[in-house]
Amino acid sequence: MTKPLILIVDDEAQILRFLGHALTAVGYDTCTASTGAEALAQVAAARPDLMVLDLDLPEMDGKAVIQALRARSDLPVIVSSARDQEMEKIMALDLGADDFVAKPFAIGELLARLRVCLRPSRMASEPLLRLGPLQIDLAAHHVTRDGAEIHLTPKEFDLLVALAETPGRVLTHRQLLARIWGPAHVEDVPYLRVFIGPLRQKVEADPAQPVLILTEPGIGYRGAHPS
Amino acid sequence: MATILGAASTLKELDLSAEARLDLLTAIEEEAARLNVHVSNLMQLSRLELAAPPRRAWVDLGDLVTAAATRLRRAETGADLRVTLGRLPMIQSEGGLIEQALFNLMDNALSHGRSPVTITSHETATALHLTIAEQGPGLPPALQDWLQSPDLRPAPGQSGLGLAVAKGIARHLGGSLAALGNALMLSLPK
Repeated sequence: MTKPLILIVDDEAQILRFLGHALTAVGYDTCTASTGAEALAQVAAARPDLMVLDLDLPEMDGKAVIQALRARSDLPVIVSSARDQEMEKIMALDLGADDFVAKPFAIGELLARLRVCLRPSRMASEPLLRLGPLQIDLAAHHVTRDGAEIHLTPKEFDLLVALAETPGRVLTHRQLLARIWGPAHVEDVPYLRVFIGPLRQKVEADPAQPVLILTEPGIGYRGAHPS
Repeated sequence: MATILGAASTLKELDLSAEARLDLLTAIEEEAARLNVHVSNLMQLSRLELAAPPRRAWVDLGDLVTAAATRLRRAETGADLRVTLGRLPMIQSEGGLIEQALFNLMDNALSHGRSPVTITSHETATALHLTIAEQGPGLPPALQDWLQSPDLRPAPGQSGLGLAVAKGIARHLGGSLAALGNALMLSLPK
């Protein structure tokens, strides 16, 4: 089996250096770029399987790279940026990045995101979704936990399905609101929180310590990582 | 910095046992994390001086307290933080700044005060309040005076930047930071 090829884009040589070693050590091939233009050229030339993209690049910034990339490719993209730059991350995710890591990150966190983003996406024909111990029957609108049925309202069901479709992957507030309540409601973040609370009450073993529906503060929610 | 450079050169030049290598690598990791906090505070301080307007979005203070507490527990294993929050409405503010202020206040309470550190909340007509309390005597009087002054630079004799940054962030977001006995209260407008 060929190793997945990861394109690492960062203008800091030391980051390229350490990620190169780390990703090679766990069995990926890597290539690098230090500017946005170089990154797009590498996508065309090397045909990577995933891009790890620093948002804070000189000249063409990470968001512009995603915009240019998404016009012609659905290559998975994980963006990295400073912890307090939520707005940048949200914009990148809404432009089509698949996930993010906050800098400085521990390598385990990036590797977990890589594994999730490299998984083949779910077949539309699969009738059952899983999220941790939950089984979600899409056709029957039916959710069970360890065999016991959980009663959800239609909106709660839609919210759970959205999170379970891409387990381990972040969805922004805006993405969830647009999908479930429609484009007129993308700014109604407090509304979303009102629905997440009761949903957690119904599906989590301990709603105070959620493990199935995780909060990414200021950004959105993430379904539990697939085990 | 001395720890990082010393440990790295030791790892490179000397033949160490696996145990010693792991210990030095852990020292580098811990020291770099500490340095990261310090540098973030320095950068925050200069950003606050530039006074760019806050980038407001909907924030949930409960989530931000959890995020700051999680980050602190990761940095300092065994940190005794006890969070008991009421149900608070969301507000339009800048989450990243609030999280940094909370991290600094909890970190200060743990390192200068006595454990456990408790975090509680309450709501008034115009603001949300988060109270970070420790079991020691609280801030020295000189620092309490400085906290009330408009001065955003660290007080004379103050070793870290954490409290100065928390104060700057509170004011930047239209709120305040006040000392109440052995507690500090961060207030943010609704």
